[in-house]
Amino acid sequence: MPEQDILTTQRVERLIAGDRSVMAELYDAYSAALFGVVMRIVKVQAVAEDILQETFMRVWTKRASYADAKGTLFTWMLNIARNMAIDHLRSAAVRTTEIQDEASTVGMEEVGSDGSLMMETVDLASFVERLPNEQQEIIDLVFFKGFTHQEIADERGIPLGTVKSRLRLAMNSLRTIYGVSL
Amino acid sequence: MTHDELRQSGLLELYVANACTAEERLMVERAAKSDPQIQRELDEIALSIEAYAQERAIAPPAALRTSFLEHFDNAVPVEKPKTAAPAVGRISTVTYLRAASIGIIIGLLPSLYLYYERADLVRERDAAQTQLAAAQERTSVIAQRASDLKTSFDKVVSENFKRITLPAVAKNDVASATVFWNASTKEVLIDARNLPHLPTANDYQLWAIVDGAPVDLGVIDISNSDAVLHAMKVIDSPAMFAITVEPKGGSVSPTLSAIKVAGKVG
Repeated sequence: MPEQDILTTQRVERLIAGDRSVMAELYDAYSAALFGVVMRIVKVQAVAEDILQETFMRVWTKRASYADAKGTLFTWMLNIARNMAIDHLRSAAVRTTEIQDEASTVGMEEVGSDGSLMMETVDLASFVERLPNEQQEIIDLVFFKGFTHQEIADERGIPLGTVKSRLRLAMNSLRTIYGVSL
Repeated sequence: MTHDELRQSGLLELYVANACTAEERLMVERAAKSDPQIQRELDEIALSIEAYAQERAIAPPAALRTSFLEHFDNAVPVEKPKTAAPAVGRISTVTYLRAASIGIIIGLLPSLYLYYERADLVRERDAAQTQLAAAQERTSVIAQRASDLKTSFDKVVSENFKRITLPAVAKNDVASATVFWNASTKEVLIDARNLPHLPTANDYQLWAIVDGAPVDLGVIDISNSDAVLHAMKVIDSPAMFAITVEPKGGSVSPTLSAIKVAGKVG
């Protein structure tokens, strides 16, 4: 398991030990971040709410498998939520046009064609200003929508190498922005 | 792939996103285990993503929190944390057993596949052998027939064979037969292809008239439609040949009223 802060480490221990009181804390700590991810995938609030609730149910029922997940608690939960959201899309048979939709949706919702910001939240504005749109998009596709490099390259018609270097650049930007350096 | 190349490949990001293959996953985990730098890189990616997601968070409706906790309480019966551990163990055991049985089934799949494939191949081989045997039999039949025809042809064209035509006795009957008689060897061959088919209760029988008396030359086997010429009994000095319709198996003396065709040796 990776290094995590003390509070997270304690929560993980309580979760694995079957301490049910940890669930309210996990919900308070992560529900908004996960809901943001799920909403961007399924785009329908009622569906996103169901998926969020089911995500936390699975966090509980699958807690024994976290030890093998080898990621942070959040990325483990993120993958659960994302996979459920993607499964929903697949079952709704709309997955095939997802990237194309994504191109227009992200562009229109968050950044206008003239580059002006159409902010979801006030906080987001400062963030978006710091991260180029194409880098933000590739992080969304990989981490929040579960696309592989190859899928992005195929759907977007850009070389695989460009996908990788763009993702790499985006990650470096993120780390600089958040000052994450262990 | 060196660890530096691994960092540049974007694979670490995919690993954190849980979007790489099992093989790539193993490679990354091996690298992370041997190189703390790789593990640190993975942690940094994960924490960046978490910070990014937190910044883009969308607060769910407040009622959803109450709804989830109620749902959780109903779905998960209250039990003491201490008893929760064995429960996990039980679940794990079942899970492992299930995984093991699935593993066994998956492990057997190639064998099953090979078994059925082999069974298919055996069936195909047997079918091919049957076809080959049938073809060989047809070939030998055809070779035998060609050999018979050549023998017949050789005899018919040799000067020693005399050709005697046997026209129908009845008026307007188109039936006929041709006898080939060898004056030196006394052999008798008959071409009976122009005789009409008989009821199964009857046979055609060939007679030679020698010194005014009929001599039996045998029943003509016309069941073998491939044969052109049939070898009959030898006869010394026939004056005439005649064919009668007789009961199955032939008669000792001809039924004169049933003479079908007849011809004098010229």
